[in-house]
Amino acid sequence: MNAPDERPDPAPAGPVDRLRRLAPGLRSRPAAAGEGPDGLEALRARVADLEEEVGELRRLNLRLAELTDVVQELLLPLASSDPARAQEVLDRYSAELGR
Amino acid sequence: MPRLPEVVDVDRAGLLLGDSDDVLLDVLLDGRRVWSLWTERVAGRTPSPSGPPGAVAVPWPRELAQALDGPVRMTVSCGETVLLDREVVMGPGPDRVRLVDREGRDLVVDNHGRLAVAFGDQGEEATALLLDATARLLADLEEAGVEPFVAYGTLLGAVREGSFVGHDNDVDLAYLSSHEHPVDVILESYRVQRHLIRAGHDTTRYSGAAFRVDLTVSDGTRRTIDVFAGALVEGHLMLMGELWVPYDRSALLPRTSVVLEGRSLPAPADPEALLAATYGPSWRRPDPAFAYAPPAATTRRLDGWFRGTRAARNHWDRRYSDAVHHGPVRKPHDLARLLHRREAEDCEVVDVGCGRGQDAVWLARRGHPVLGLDFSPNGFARLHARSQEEGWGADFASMNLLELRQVMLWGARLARREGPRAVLARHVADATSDRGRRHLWRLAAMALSGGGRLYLEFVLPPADPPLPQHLLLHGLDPDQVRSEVLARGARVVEEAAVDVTHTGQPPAGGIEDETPLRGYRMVMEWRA
Repeated sequence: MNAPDERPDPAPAGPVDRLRRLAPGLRSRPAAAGEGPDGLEALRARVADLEEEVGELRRLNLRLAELTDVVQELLLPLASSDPARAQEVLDRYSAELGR
Repeated sequence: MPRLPEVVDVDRAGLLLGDSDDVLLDVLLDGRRVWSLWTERVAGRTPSPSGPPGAVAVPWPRELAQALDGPVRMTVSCGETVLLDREVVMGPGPDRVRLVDREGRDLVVDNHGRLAVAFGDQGEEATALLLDATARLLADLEEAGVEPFVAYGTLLGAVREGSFVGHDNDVDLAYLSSHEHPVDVILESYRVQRHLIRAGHDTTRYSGAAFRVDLTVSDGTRRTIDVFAGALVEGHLMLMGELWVPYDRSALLPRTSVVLEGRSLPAPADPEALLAATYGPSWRRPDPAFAYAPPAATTRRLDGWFRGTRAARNHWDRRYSDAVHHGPVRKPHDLARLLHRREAEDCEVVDVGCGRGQDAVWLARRGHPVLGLDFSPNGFARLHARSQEEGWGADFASMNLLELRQVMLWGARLARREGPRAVLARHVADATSDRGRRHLWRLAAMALSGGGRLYLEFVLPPADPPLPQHLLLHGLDPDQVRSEVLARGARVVEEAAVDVTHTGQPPAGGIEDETPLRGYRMVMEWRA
């Protein structure tokens, strides 16, 4: 991630504001892009990088949801169970996953 | 008046069409419509240098191509205008081409390019049974704490015609999540699915925010009811699996109702607004060849948030869909023989990505307790049934390596078991995605936390030509594999380049049917 601003958010911001905070270079690059083909190429590369980085962040959602589900549905019941109950919890979680 | 194409040629590969505007064509076999296509938007369309200027070659959808073997009267029409109508011979097959399923029901190509029994071809009783099943599912969804409504094609049919869309073949339900964050939307979808499983439904997950319920109605027709999560996020409606549009809550809730085949079903507050958002302003005009084409940014967003757990799944399911009808496969792969030579007879084997299960059964019959895992249960269904009947000691279960929670579940289950253990993973690391490969190492590390070896085989990146696509494999660099596994606490105890050889097994479109490929074998060890 490029130079994230770690200060707290002063006010609610829209997605464009947030992207600009994540990538301050975006503020000036559109102007630079007009200056020649190199600027445009750099902007293209920057957009591609940003798309990749946004994708990387989005992918955390599913991972976090899966881990939360395992903690809620498996680890918590397992932590407070006897061995027979633990097996039951594992079997039940498995049976209710669908295909 | 749009310019219509000339049908220049027709053969087993597809249609050769002359230059035209983007028009909707119907393809009929012996007078029955089986496929519709838009000439400029049809999948696989390529310019044809051999035809007249502007000509395009349009391939048959794969399942239709397989069925086109024999004589048939082929008609291609655009509305009332017939462009082609003649007897053709589509292959050496002696019988007339009949597009029917095993029970003799008429099939058509659906909007995913697959053959299916369309609603227009099903009887009244089957329709009534499907509606009964839908009503039960709606009640169970309400009980799960969400407010379901009909969406997509089902809503379209109800509003436009008061009936199912004739060329459609599944039921679409959706609900608006009370959550906004994708993590909470996913957790809610998991919870709803669990509730339905407890209520006795057979479900298959598509993504973090959608799954389907599989039904077999009494005449044997298989139907699916899709259950899509929706959410209002930053003034937009996110609706799996295609929508991200500016939207107002009042257009969804409180729900209203629509009438479908004489029955009242829950609908969003403004059904027409959702149809316009889904199908565009021309939603009132029937389009049997409609295919969703969401903006790339929408696909990126929904992919990023929810998808990635079904990579290549449809291909593998299709490859194995007929495996249950194939003859037995008995011959094991070399990697299974190697494992058997290296490990004690009582060593439990976990065959990850077991496919049709021949290695699992071969090892079980030599004394190993064996568990075969694969995300496509069609593959092992036959040998699983035989193993249970004959008491071979090979057990099988479906496990999706792409879902972290399934990997953690199986890792935990295996780690609890007593006794020595080995993991066999033949053409898994090179078949799955990066996510799946990372999960494979995690599963092995958990399953072998008491010590044990992972037997791995994969293909190397080919120099030339590239690997045939139908193998569903991609080459891996042994250095990369070695470093990934070392980072999981294992060490490589044996490795060698190998030929992935032909084993003379029945055709399943698999790697066995190919000439030798360059492969690599690694045995890794985790110490207790």
